[in-house]
Amino acid sequence: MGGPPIGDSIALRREGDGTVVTACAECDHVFGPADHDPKLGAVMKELSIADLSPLNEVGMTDRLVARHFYCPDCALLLAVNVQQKGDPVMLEWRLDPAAA
Amino acid sequence: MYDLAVDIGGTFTDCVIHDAERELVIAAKAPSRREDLGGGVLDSVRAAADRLGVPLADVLSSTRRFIHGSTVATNAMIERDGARTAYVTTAGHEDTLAIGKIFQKRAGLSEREISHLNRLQMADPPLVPRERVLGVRERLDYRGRVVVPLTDAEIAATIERVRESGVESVAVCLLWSFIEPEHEQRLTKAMRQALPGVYVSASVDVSPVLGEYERGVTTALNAYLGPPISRYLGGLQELLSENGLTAPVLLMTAGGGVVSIDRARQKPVTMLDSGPVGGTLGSRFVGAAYDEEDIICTDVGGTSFDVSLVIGEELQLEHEPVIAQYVFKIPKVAVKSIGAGGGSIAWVDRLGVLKVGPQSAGARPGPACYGRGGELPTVTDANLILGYLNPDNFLGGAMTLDRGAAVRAFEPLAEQLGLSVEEAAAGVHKIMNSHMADLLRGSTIERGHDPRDFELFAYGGAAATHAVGYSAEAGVRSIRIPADATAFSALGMLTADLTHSFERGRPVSTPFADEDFATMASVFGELGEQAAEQLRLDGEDPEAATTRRSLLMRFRAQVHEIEIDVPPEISLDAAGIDALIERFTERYERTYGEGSAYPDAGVEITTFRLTATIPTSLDSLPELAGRAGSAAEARTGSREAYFEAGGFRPVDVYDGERLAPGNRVEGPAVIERYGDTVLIPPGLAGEMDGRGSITVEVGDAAAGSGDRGRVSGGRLDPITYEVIRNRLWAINDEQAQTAARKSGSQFIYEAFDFNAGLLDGDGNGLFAGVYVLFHTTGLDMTVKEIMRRFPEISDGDVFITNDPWVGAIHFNDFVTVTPIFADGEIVSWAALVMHYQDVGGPVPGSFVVGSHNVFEECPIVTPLKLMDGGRYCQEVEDLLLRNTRTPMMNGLNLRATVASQITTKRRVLEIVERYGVEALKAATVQVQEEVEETVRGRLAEIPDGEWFDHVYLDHDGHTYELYEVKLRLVKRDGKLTFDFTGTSEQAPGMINGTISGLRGGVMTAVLVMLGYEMPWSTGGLRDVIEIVSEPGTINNCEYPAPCSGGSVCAEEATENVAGTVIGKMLGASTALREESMTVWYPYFNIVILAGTDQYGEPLASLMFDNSAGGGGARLWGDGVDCGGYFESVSCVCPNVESNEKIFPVLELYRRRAAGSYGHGRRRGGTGIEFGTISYDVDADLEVIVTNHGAAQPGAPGLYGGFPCALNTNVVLRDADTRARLGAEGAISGEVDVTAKGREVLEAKARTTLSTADVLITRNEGGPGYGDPLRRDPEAIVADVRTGLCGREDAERIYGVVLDGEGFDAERTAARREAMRAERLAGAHPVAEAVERYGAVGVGVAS
Repeated sequence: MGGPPIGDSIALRREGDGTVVTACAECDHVFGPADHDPKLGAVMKELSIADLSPLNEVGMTDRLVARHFYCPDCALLLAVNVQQKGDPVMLEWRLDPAAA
Repeated sequence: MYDLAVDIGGTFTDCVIHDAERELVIAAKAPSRREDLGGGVLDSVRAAADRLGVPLADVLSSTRRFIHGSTVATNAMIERDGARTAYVTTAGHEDTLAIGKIFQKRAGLSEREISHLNRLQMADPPLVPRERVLGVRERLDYRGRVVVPLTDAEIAATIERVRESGVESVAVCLLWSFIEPEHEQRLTKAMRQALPGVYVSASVDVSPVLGEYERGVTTALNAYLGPPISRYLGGLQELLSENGLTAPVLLMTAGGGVVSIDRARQKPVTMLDSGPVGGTLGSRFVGAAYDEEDIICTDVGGTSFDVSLVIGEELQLEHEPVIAQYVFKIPKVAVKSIGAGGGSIAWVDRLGVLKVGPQSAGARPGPACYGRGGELPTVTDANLILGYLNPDNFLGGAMTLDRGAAVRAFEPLAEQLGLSVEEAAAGVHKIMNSHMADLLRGSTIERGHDPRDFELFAYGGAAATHAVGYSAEAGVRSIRIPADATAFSALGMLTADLTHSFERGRPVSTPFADEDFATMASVFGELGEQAAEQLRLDGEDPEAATTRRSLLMRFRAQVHEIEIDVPPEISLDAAGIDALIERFTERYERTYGEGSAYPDAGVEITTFRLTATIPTSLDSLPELAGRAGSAAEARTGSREAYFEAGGFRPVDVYDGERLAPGNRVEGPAVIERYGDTVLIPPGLAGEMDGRGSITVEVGDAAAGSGDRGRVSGGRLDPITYEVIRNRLWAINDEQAQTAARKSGSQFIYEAFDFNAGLLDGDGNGLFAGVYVLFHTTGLDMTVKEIMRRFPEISDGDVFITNDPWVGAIHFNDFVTVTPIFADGEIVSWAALVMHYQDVGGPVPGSFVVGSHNVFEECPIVTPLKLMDGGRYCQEVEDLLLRNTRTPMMNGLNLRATVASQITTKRRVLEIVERYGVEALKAATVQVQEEVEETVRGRLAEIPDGEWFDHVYLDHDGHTYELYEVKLRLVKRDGKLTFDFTGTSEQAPGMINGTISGLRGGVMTAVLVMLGYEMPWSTGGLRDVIEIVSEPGTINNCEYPAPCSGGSVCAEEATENVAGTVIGKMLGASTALREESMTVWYPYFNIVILAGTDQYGEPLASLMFDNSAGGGGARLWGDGVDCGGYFESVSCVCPNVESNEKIFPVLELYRRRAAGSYGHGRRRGGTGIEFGTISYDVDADLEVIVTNHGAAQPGAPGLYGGFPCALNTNVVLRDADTRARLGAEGAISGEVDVTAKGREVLEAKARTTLSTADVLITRNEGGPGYGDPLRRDPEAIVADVRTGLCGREDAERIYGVVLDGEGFDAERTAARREAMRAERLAGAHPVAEAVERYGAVGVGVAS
């Protein structure tokens, strides 16, 4: 499969067995099947919302965190989610198997 | 002796010579020379001289006046090859041109273009790049008093900076210089002395009026154009002199006069867009010979169709024209243009609808029939196929047309449409006429002029063939096609007078004091002296000039002004001014409708204007001499031509050069002349008069009779459908503009917090205007609920409600809907929604912070009849006005609403009258089908799947709680399901939204991101969109939950999350990924100032600076800096000078806020930051804040982009601002002052602003897109250079190591590599986090 990446960071790739996977648009690391959020194959780190911008220092830095999701190989930033500390991880998208 | 005029066009340069002795006018054309315009001018004069039979040198040496219309200024703007220019302004306000009042992103664009938010940008490239904008430490206040003196040292330093910038031109525009010019004049005088090679332009010389943006743009344009115009004019004068010209060259201005070369060099901005003005002047002049005072002037060239008006023999001026998205303040003849001409290309869209233009084949390759390589079907090809043009007698036989090539170009188009080539060509001809008729209506009906009261003049090469068609369509009854129509603009230039206009902004308001009368006399005196001096420089006697004085007047607090003449017999004293106010009021009501004037507000004079004129025009147009004979003698034969009724039939062909005065030609016929072909359809006749004009009386063939739409199986033919669709679209725009003009509320005419809509007879949305979108997305709810509640609905009823559970978003938004009856049934509904300033309740402004339920908020008006069978229900108005603190404003809004509804009803019924009820009903169905098919087509380009995200609302009006709006978007089977399951329960405070806001938020996001470049029809989306939501949640609250803040709270939250998931979804589409973007300015940062203003009047109003948040980042590029908010493409950020005049404040600085956006590979647009102190009042002001995004980022980025930064309002207590301002000369941010206290205001706050305090406000930018480490380092360097990205962020966020003016590539690569390693250090697999915290979103049971 070719074509432009999804958004700015994810590529779809057809494997030898015919399954379609999501891969890193930068280094080709495979995250997992295309009908799963690629995040599930990524790594993450929780930072302060003030790390996003010093202008956020007046915000709820004690209650909120900025979750950064990276490609485990090349560290391409896939997503940033601001959530309350301890909230469930947000899974943002998946394509239907047929569409993928 | 000769009078000579030369007009440079895109294809030809036209020359007209008036031989005064022989009473003869000769026209000739020569190809324009793009690289040598002067050479083309000389060629055209030579061609005319040849036709006259006189050697060129003899013509030039005997010419007493040489008038020149040039496109040099316009071309310099279009091609952006003006001078390298610097812009000098008051320190702290260097971003004025870049912020562009937000509106710059859409200024001058068509409604279709405006609807595509993803593609909007500020003017690009900017007129002056930010690096060449220089701040000067000086400051005046709104009365012209010195706040910061301009020192000699500062002048010297500024000159040095200009010198270092290496520019050839500089524009100077200091705040309030139009009131007190001393600073600006001293600075520019010193610059001219110190920098003799630099062109210096001062705003006080170019456009001394209120409004630093428009004044600054005008000055910058002048500076930008000065050097190239000077070079061109110098060269031209030399060339013509070498060839024998001794008379001075006079230049045509866009204002309709001519000026000397020296004056044109000083003020080249007056030449911008002067091209079409000659034709308008010519129409006025020729019209006078026929005693025609009211004329519609129409010019059809190869690429454009231009319309202007002459009313009562007066040219109609516009005072804020637009060029290249820049609004400037030079009065110019109002000309509306569209891309429709002989070269316009016909095409079929993906839905099979025939379209014409706006793309044009131009002169090269031109229409297919020109045989120059063009292969696309054009209007000229259609006219040839239809038999209207003679292939062997085009341009007097100078050119042969290839009919076979035209047919070949049309064949694919016809095949796509399932029509014959001839039918397709007829369709193109008709649609072209329809587009032109729409522009005619836009220039007449929408401005309150009835086209039946006008004579229409048609000129330009293609006008004669289309004039009857577009005139009849627009309701014009009489058409005149003048002799030499093909070079009519040049002819018109001979009728221009030497004119100088000077103006000065000097606001004075009622009640006037004696000193005001003295000021008025003094200002007019100064303007008179300026005019006299200029005339002396021109070598003219000022005593020979006629002088016209006028005032720009408006009701206080309004923005739209009307120009009122001050006749010599009126003296500038109390009695004289009273008489002028009476004239103003009368004129206002004549323009905007009976009862629309608002005298209680008081009247303001904003600008004084004086125009001095030396008559130089021709005295009269020569009559045709020596022609006699019958029409039959001019008949040259016949040929077949196509007409809608009956197909091809024989038409008589006449030689127009042989027709004599009094000859009458019965249609069907064509009259072939030197440069055009007059088409006379069956049933009409053309008559030649003594001046060579051909008149066609359209009469009953005009709109309003016959030609019903062809409806088959409930569907219209594609051509009639296109006509009616465009008409309905235009009617809706007229509905909105009528209401905006008549409203007295800043919320409407300045912030555009309103919108208009049209619905079908069943209440399904058809069109929404380009104003606040969510106002129109609940209209179907309102109408359907009214139909349910009112079993008896009559013609003449108008309904009103502000019930948030019946379509209104919150209590301030009054929804008015009007059934439109035809043949005894409702065929359509008109609708208007306006935000009313105050609708009662315990808190001024009706955003009720602290409320617990609706009973503590505002009165709810359930649907009532505002008009009952045509009777205005005064008792309902009384009820509404009894419950508000602003009864006059609200009353005016009510009357403006009713007036616009009645107008809309009349317009829709005109369609019924013209095409029939069935045609209208079919069109309303087809509009919705078109929208549905378009959106479904776009959805088909997106893979099926699910997308999820969330946003927060912070602060419920009581405490700093967080509320969450969750959204799972499912795209399957060509449908979108918006599932809000899991969203927080409704809050105990005013931030909730009802079902109206929920639908508004979803539909706004859908229309903006998927519904671009098509009618915004919610009816067309009813089977495409499904919303799943639990009642009792924060964006679907149940009665009686409090919801007075619904519009800027839960509705915006819904819009933000919906926009985010759609942006995410679009990123998955190969075809549509470039449409993927983050949301714009997520939460409006409302700051209200209250108390007493500097005039002693009560004050309670929004600071509209806060409209300036940042645009969302796009996959293909950065967000628009200060782009405004998502739900309205038309929001505006006012001038600092406007604010300081209305509010008791001094805005210390205002700029794009560095880092306010979300970082990313594509960053969001910046928000605005501004610092404000109270000014000219002693008492404290109250500051009321209502926002979200103050404690948490308002909306997420996409695909690794960061969310935007926070909305912030900070009050620095007891600061040394005023002392520091005096000492340092400028305050540019919080760091420049020392304060004893610093208070960060919460998202809902009420506090005070004392004279020692400073309010610092910063709005969110747009969220980012993509990983910041992938951002091009050059873009970072540019952002750092322009102050939009801090040096620290450049390295910390983007890993760019700056090096002097650039970046160090090697160290940047290393830094980025290190940052990637840092990212992974300590990172954990997401699976572990899921195990620990659980998961939410797609693939997870909710």
